Amino acid sequence: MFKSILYSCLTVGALGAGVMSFSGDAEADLFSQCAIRSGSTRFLDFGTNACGYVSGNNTNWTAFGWNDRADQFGNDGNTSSNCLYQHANCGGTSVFLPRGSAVTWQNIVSSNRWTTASSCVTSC
Amino acid sequence: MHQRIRDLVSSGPARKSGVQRRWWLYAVAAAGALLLLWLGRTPDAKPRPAARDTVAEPIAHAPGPPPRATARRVATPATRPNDRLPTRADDRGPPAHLSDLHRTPDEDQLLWSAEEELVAACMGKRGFAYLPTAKDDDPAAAPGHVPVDRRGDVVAARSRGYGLAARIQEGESPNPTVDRNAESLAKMTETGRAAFLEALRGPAISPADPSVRQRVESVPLPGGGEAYWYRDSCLAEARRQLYGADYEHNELGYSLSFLRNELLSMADGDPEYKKDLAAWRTCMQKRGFNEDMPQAAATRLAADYHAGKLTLDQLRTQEVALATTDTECFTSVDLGGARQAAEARAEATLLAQNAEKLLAMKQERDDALGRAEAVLRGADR
Repeated sequence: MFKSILYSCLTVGALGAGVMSFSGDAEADLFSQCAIRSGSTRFLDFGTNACGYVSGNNTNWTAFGWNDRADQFGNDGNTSSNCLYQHANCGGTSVFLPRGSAVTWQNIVSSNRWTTASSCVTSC
Repeated sequence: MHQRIRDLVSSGPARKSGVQRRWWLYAVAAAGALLLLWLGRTPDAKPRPAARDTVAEPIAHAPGPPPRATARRVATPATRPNDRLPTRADDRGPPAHLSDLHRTPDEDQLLWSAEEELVAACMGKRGFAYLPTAKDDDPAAAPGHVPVDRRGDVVAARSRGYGLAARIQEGESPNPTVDRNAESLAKMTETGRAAFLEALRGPAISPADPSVRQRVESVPLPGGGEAYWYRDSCLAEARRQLYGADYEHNELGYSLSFLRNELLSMADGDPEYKKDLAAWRTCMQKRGFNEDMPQAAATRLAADYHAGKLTLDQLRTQEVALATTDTECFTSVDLGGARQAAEARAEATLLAQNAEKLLAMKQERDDALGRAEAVLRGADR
């Protein structure tokens, strides 16, 4: 009887430890891979672990090889929110990225525009 | 991961026998309960961060000046809108267009001023002097600005193609907003600067890190994905005070993005638009190009350039040829008009389906403006 209880406890403990070890698994993300550059929005491509940065407005991310490629974004800007757009020239669906926030939005972004307005323009 | 846990649970015990097997079953049930509890504690599917040495601790405040007064003195002239806003009290029905939810430049100015005021006050309470940032004047957000649909701009296509080569040469356009805190930040020690930025934006470590997860807000995004931020940063506190506790779900958060995403998806599937899109494809094929969507060729050309398959001159030549045909076909079948009509039909459907929600969004917008006015009135005292 005592042995059975002991086995049970050991099993629960072992499985619990397994769960704990899963939760502690390290996976690369924007914050572990890409250093902050204050004033920029940083982004990460999960597939290659490559980091990119924008500190200005970009109407077409194809021009610097990041169209529909970045997966995770963090706004480390000091002055403005950054609008991320599905299409070039601020077209399609947009995501408003206020300072100090991050998004996971995979393989979508094609243009960006910084703003101090409370929403994103729909063309630029 | 769940499969791995299921594998662990289903192995081992099955090979036991007799009384032990029953105990194993109890053990497995207990483990399952623990597992469910654990999963309930961490429901998010965010990418998990690498383990870090840094552990989030309460912010070590740098010795700072009595903050409130400093911040407000600076805030007022830089960011104050000129006049009190016109009231929208006479406009009580649901919006007739999604764009009716957009704020006027004066309203945006008011919201921005109030937000910066609240950020400065919060930073002051934490021992930091923060100079509020002035609002930029984005011409694309000016009243009466008509968005340009470059997909039909034949003249531009003939001279610049899709604008890829020019964009590569010009680089990005600078963000015009001036960082008024840059000078004081530059004078700080590295530790002081890190403490300032942590108070402003939150810790530099991942919001997905288990050590800080309890301090993180997150919301789903249109089309999949997720947004997250530290709820106790001064920026987040200011937004919450201004836009309400439900900020992330209201129209200033992501509700409008969701609606717009739905509108675009509906327009994509509009039969009339699809018919005209097919006509555009036929036009392109007749002229020797097999393309799926207007301007999609730009992505392929840019990829070829970045892969070293095209020189900049070759890129320029090819993009002019393709973009010229692309835009000529676009105008010849009036795909721009077809798209506009499809979006109008989609918007009418959306407005009808979401009248109550849109009314609530409008109310949230007006509530935020009221709070902003109250913040700035308080700052004047």
